[in-house]
Amino acid sequence: MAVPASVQVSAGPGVGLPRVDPEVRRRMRRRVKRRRNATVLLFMSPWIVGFLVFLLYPMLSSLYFSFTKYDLLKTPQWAGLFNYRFMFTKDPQFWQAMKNTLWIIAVGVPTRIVFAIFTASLLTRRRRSIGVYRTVFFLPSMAPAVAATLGFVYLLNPATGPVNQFLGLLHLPKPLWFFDPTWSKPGLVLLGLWGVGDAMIIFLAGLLNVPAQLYEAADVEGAAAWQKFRFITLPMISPVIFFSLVIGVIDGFQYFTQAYVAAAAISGPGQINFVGSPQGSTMFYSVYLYSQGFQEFHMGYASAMAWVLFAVTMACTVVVIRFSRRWVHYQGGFR
Amino acid sequence: MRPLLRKLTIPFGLVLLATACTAGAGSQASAPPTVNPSASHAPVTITFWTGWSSREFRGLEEIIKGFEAKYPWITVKATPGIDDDAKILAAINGGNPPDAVSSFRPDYVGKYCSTGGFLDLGPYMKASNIKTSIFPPSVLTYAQYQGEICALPFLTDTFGLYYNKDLLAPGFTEPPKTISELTDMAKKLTQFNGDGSIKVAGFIPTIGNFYENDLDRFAVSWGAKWFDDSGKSAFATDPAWAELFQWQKSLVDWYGYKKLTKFLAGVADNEWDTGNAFESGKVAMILDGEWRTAFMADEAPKINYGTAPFPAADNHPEMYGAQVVGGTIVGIPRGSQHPAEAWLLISYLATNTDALVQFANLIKNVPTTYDALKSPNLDLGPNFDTFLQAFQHPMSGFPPQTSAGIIGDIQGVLFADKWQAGKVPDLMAGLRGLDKQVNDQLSLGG
Repeated sequence: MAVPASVQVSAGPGVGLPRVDPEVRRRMRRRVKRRRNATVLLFMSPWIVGFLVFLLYPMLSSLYFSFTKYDLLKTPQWAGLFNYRFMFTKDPQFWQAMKNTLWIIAVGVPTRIVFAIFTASLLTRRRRSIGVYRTVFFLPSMAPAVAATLGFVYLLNPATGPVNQFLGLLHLPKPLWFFDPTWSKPGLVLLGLWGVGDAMIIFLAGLLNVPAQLYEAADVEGAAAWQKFRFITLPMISPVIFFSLVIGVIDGFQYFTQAYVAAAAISGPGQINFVGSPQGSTMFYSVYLYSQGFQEFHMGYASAMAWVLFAVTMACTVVVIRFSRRWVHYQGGFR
Repeated sequence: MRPLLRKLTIPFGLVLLATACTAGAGSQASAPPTVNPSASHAPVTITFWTGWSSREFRGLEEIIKGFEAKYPWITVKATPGIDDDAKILAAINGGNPPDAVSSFRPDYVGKYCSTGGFLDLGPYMKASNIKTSIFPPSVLTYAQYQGEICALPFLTDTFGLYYNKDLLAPGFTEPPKTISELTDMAKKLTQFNGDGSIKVAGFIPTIGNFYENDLDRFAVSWGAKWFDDSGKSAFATDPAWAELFQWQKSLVDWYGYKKLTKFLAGVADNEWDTGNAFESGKVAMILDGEWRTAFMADEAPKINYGTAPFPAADNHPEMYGAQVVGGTIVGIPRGSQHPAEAWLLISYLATNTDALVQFANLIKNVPTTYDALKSPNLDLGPNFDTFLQAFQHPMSGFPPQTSAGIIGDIQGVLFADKWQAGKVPDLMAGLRGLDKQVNDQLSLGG
């Protein structure tokens, strides 16, 4: 094979390799780089297409729609900041939805975390059949949200449900649960506690990961059980609490299925305007957003609501992350 | 400009441009393509979405067979169970709708007409020489919007009072004709258990959480106006609304809201099964649709019941016998690939007397043309006369449509939910707030 003119053979001792013209070398490098980039792009292309088509395009579309009046059938009409002004100044249902959502986050998320830690603590003990108990506690979280909610509406039915019958036997007050605005959200919190398995399993892993020698050292120092929990367990699982808190806050802002299904179930199948029943107490932000977008077909307004939701969720998550520096402890010292 | 911002600007702009160009695309001229039924044609298959399912859909398929026999070159591919209009809207918006649709939401006609979502059927009707005078005026209150017909009625619903004759005696032999009589009977027919809970309710007055107790149906008894002459919401300005809400709340309070709620919790989910409160003898009188006659025959044949017009307010005797009328509509969505054949189908369903009578007899709905109403083959049972009369009452009709649907009813039900629970201390202030809410919501429309 003929040697290209640009490749000169060095006569230097011990080298014996062809010396390549720097310009040619740069060209070759560029070609290799291009080929590598093309390969990377080829492998990434399914994700890129998915990202552009199913995420970026809808997001940008909804941003555009949020500045329009758009009913899904007519061409969107530019409306500037009308939807945002309407939301903050003319729509009491928006504020009710926001209030309900903040309630479920403020009450539901901490309650669920505490209950998950408590349940996981019970399941850390070494005893026979502990695997069975762990499975039993985890199983409810596998139930589909719709089925679980319908089950709870049945269990807590004030007329026919077994829970109130049991409370009656104990001569305790019998709430109207999902039929009473005072009790509908606590009913949903109970539903969340029943399906705590997903959080419980993470806390269980966190608790099992706490080094036993820390407790042994505390025992030597004569620490009480509460002190061990407060000064060893809690700091050691604080990253798990932090993770659950962030996920809980984000999920809380998107709270939808359970509220929608419970409201539909108590209103009966013939009702069209059931969302938020009773008396708007289950009108959460995402439920109201869905109602505006897909029942009233105010897609411009729903898009504006979606962007406000995004901004509020982002802001709350940032606050939680900032605040976490004061109480989250990482064993390795990393943040 | 920062490099990142510069890099993002072009694709962002392109996306916005594409969004602006594609959204709402697909509008087409409304000039009707015509088909000569007597000429020879190449075979055509048209798609038809319908909300009916199971037994009712099988009945519809029989009707469609009659259509296919009449137009042998057309095959109809019908899809059952599309009872959510969001799917229809999404298909229209996506530019790939079925050729024809039926919808259970007459309250969406305003939206379909005002946006061109359904084709204007006026030119088609003119070309086929079908006049609106074949339909009773009550169905035209929802089949058209601001003078434009973009949907045809295909059977309809109306409402009346069902009363359990066995529970009525002793003391009463006739159903109530006025709201005062209804209230009196409701109280006297109510039975309580030993612990004070309700055993049998005379009449359930709550709105929005019990079967067919919707605000618009009660409003008819008072002749309440939804909007004033300037198009503004009239809850606070028409005194009929305050009278309605005061009557309704007084009867709720007589039962006790908590007691009533607990009673409702036991029956709320049973409207369509044998646990239905009326079918199981738990309520003596109930406001319900004409279809209940079919359910009674099927599920509670031993219940000795009668039907009567829903009572009118004492100061509005002219409203006795009137009720809300609103039922299934059929239309041609924008983007239909075979609008001419779709027109043949929907006009057949909406105007063919045999088809209307056959389907009405099957699902016990009110037929929607004068000819079908007069048909000797109509076999709807003796208790159905109440509904045929309500259907033809001059004051019967559908609540006024807006481009945002029946927004007054939607917001009104939300208000009633709080009012009947005692959460609205000042009724008139609440109604003024309701008016503002309705007027504000109207401004959200496209």
